Amino acid sequence: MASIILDHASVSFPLFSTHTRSVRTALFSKLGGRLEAHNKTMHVQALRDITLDLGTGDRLGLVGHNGAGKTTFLRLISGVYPPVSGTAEIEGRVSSFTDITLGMEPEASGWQNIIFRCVFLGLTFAEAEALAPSIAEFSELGEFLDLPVRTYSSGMFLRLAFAISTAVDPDIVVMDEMIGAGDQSFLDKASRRIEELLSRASILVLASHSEDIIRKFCNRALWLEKGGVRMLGDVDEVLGAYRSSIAEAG
Amino acid sequence: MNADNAPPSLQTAGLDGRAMPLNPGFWSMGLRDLIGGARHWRVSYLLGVGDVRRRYARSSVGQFWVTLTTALTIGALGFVWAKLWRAPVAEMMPYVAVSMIIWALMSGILSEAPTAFVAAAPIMHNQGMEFSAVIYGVILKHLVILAHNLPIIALTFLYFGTTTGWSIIAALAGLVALMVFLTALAYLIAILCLRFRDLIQIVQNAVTVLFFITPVLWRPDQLASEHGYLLKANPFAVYLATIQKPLMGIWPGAEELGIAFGLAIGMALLAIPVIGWARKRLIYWL
Repeated sequence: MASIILDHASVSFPLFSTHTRSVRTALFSKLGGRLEAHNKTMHVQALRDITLDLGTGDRLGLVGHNGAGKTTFLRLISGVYPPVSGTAEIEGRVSSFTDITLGMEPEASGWQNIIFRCVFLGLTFAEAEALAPSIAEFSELGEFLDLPVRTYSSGMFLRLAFAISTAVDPDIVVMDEMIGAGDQSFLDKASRRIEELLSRASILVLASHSEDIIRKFCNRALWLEKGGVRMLGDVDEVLGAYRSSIAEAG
Repeated sequence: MNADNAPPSLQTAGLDGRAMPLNPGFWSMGLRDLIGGARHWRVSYLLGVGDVRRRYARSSVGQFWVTLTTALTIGALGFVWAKLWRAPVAEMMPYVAVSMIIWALMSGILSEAPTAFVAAAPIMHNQGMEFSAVIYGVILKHLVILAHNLPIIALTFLYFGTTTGWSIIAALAGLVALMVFLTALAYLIAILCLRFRDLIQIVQNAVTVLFFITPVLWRPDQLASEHGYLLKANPFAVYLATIQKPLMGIWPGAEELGIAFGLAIGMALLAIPVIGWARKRLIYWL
C-alpha cells in the first residue's frame, strides 16, 4: 500500500562558508566562544511547514515559480532529504525520474547499462537480466547495445535511459517535468509508455511548468510559494488561482 | 518532538533537539543505517567495481593492471630492500609482498573515505539511500583489488618456498577484524570530512605518515625493543602483524587476535552513535 504523509515537514539548508567548514574554527568556537557573533551558520528555508496526505490514486501536480521549492519537495518525497522538523512518512517503492541516467556508465555497453540502471532502480541482477530483452526491444537500438554507451549520440543515450527507467514498476513516481525521448516516431511510443506506467503507479508527484501536462495527468494540485503551501486542492481551482496571480504580477 | 526515538519507518524525522551523542536513539539509528545500507549491496557493488572498471577501461588487460602494478612494485622494493637491510631476498620478498598488499587495502580505503560522499553526490541527491551503502562500495572496491593481488602472494610464496599452514585461518580472522575496523573508521572519516573540508587534506597526509610508522617496508624486529610502543600504539601495525604472521606459518597468540577484534569492536562502538547522530545531517552537508 503506497502512501505519503507529511506532517508539518520543513527542510532547510545550512550555508557553510569556508570559515564554518574549518576544523580550527569549530574547535576554537568551543574553546573561546568569542567568534560566535560572526560564526553563526546561515540557513535557507527551502520547505516550510508542509502538511499533506497522499494515498493510492492520488496524482499531485506541483506548480510554482523557480525557487519555490518544487525540486526540494520532490526530493523530500524521494527520501533524499529527511525533514529538519516535522515528519515525512513515505511507504512504497519510489522511482525518482529526476535523473533517469543515474547509475549508467559511458564505458560500459548498452546491455551492461541496462543491468546497472535496473539495479539502481531496485531490481536484483536476475530480475534485470530477465527484463533486458524487452527493454532492448523497446529502445530499438539493436546492435548498438553491444557498443560502449559513449559511442551513442545523446539522443540514443536518452532513449536507452528512458526505456530502462520506464520498465520498472514503482508504487510512487516522482517526476520533474514530463520525460520523453527520441525523434518524432519514438516520442509517440514513449509518451504511450509513460502514460501506461503512470496509470499503473499508485501515486504520482509531478512538477511541471506546463498547465496542459498537469491537467492531463493530475487530479490534485499543490502551489508552492517561497517553500510554503500557497494553495492545495483541485487542479482547475489551483491552476486558475496560480494563473491569475501571474497575470496580476505581470 | 524527539524523532530519534520514533518507530522505524522509511523516514521519520527531526533534527530538532540536539541531544547528547550518548542518546540511546542514536545507537538504533546508527544500526538502522548500517543494516539499511546493506540492503543496497548491489548498488554498493556496482559503485565499487565500476570504479575499478572505469579506471582500466580501454586497456588491453583491463583491471589486471592492478595485479601487474602491485607485482612490479613488490618485485622492485623487495629486491632493493633486501640489499639495503642485507637480508636474503628469499626472506624479504614474501614479507614485502604480504605487507604491501595488506597496506594497499588499508591505505586505499583510508584515502578514499574522505571524498567518498562527495563522489556519490549525484546519486545521493536523486535517490533516497543510506550513506552506509557508499561506504560499503568503497570497502567492496578494495576487497576486489585485494582479490586481484592475492595471486601475487601465492606465487611469491611458491617461488621462495614460504610455507603457510592451517594458521591461514587465523589470518582470515585477522582480515575479518580489519575489515570491521576499517568500515567503522572509514565511515567516521567520511562523516567528519564532509562537514569539515580541511580534514580531507589532513587525512591524506596522515596516511602518508602512517606508511612510514607502520612496518610495511621494515620488519618489527628491526626496531629497537625500547621503541616497541610504536607498534603497540599503531592499530595498523597490529592488524598487519595479525594477518602477516599466520600467513607465514606462525600461529598468533590469543592475546594478539583478542586485540585485533577488540580494536574492531571498539571502533564500531565509537562509530555507531556518530552515524546515528549524523545520518540525517549528511545530505545537508553534501
